[in-house]
Formats: sequence, C-alpha cells, structure tokens
Amino acid sequence: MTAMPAATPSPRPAAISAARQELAMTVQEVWLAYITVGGDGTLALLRRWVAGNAAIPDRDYDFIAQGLNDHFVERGQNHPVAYSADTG
Amino acid sequence: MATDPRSAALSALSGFLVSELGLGDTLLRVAEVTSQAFPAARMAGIAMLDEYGQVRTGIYTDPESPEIDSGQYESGRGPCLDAWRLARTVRIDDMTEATADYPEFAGIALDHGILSTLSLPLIAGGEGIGALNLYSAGKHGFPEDAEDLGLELAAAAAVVLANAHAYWAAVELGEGLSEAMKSRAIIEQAKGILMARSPDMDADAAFDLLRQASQRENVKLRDIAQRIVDRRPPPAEPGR
Repeated sequence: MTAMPAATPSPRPAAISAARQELAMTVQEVWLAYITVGGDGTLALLRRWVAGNAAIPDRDYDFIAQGLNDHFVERGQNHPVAYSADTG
Repeated sequence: MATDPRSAALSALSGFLVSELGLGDTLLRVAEVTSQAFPAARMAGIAMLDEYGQVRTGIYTDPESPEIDSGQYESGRGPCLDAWRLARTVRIDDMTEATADYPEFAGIALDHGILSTLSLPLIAGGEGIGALNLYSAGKHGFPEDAEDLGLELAAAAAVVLANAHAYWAAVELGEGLSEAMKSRAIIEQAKGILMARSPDMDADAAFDLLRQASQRENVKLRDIAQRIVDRRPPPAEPGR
C-alpha cells in the first residue's frame, strides 16, 4: 500500500490572515472587499476559505487579494498580498 | 405605572427600541438604567470584547470606571472577569478584604474610593457576551438581595445588548454592501469597455488588466476602473 503524501497547507489562508491582522479587518469586512471587486461567493464560503476548510479557487483568491490590497493602498502600501500566480 | 427602581429599570429595558439609538448609546443607556436601580451605585461600566477580541470596558457612566477595570484586564483577574467567565454574580462587600483575591483590581478601586462592587454576567442565547459592573463608594453598597435584582436586570440588559448588536451589525452590513455595489458597478462597466475594445478578451482577462494597472500605479482598482469609464488617459510616467 502506498502512503498518501502529506497535504501541504495552502499559503493562501495564511496570507489572508496576515493581511487581515495587519489591517484589523473582520471576515465580514474582507468579504465586502472581495464583493466590491467582483467576487460572488457567500460570506459563509469565505469563512471556510479563510479557515482553510476549503480550497480557494484562483479567481476568487485574486478577488480577495485585490480587495485587501485596495485597503493597503489606502495606507500607502503597494499591494503586499500576492496574487494566485505567485502563491500556487 | 412603574414606581420602584426595579420596576422602572425593567420597564425601561423591556421597552427599549434598539434602532432608536446607535450601539454605543444603547449600551450606555442600559448601563445607566441598570445603575439607577441600585441607590448605592456611584457608576456603572460594561465590559465586552472589542473589535480586536480584547476585553475592554468600552461603555461607562463615569470615566473612572475603565481606569478601575484596567487592573483586571492587565492581570487577567477581577470580579467582572469572573462574573463573565463563571456566568454568576460576583459581589464585593468590602474592597479592603478583596486584596487577596483581586489585588490589582482592589488596589486601583481603593485608590478611586470604591469600597464595594457588584458584577453581573450578561448572557444572551446561553452565551456570555460581557459583564456589567456597578461600583459603590460605601462598604456593603449592594445587599445580598441585590444579587437577584441584579441578575434579573442583567438578563433583560443582555437581551437588549444582543438585539442592538444584531441590529447594528445588519445595518453596517447593509451600508457596506451598498458601497460595495457602487464600486463594483464601476468595475464591471470598465471591464465591459475593455472587452468591447478587444473582442477576444473575456471578463477574467479584463479583470487581470485592471488588477495589473492597480498594482503598477499603486491605485485602487475602483479608481483605475473609474478612469476607464470616464475615458481619461492614465497619468504620464515621470520623466516622459
């Protein structure tokens, strides 16, 4: 029997959590930022993504990253949250 | 007609319309109403989690209240924290005798001339959502039967607080969604313009173009989109 390879934790929830912490944003605020730029997932789904309980599709992750980066732009920081092409 | 403090306070709490006041004002009114039911109470404060998940006395009838409570939060022990954690009333009849159980809190309370306190758990839907502290300048400010009244008022107050929180969270979400939809309409319009200019471009590719411009210019996506909708050219690069 072949052993299953250990699952590699996705860096995406960690990236979102780090940004949330720095921006002091609630999950609901992150969801609003995501919806603003084009996302159409529910708040409940975003909670699962943020908790690492569901894989975040590339397109949705880019909406989340853009929404967070827009908040960083307001603080004078240039897009610190990586997009899907850079996070794998 | 309600005449005694207990009836007056219960009547005021049960008749609360949470939409009439903002969340902060509702909480303050709850603290005031509860405090008025106890003649010996000099002030009242409500401890709840703040937006960063830290316990804080954010609502008070006197600015001394958060100063006194700070001793609890820094040390992690105090009557208000115990009332919240254990979901029961904690009464201190003589602050000079509380220095063993709550040295930090008792020390600061005595410095402020507080000699007795009553801490009430705020429980809504079976969950502790905070605690209400009442402070008296005299020893034995809150007699033993005050605990029953306190619990009765705290139960009513907790329902008001939970309703107010739910109401204002819904209002806040509604306002946030309204703003989000305004920005999103601009962004979708810009994507449509880009797609019309290049028939091979789909919505995802149009978003990527906007995103790259946002990153390149360090400008919010909505502002890039607005520029496209307004048919304004991008700003000239320095030195060109």
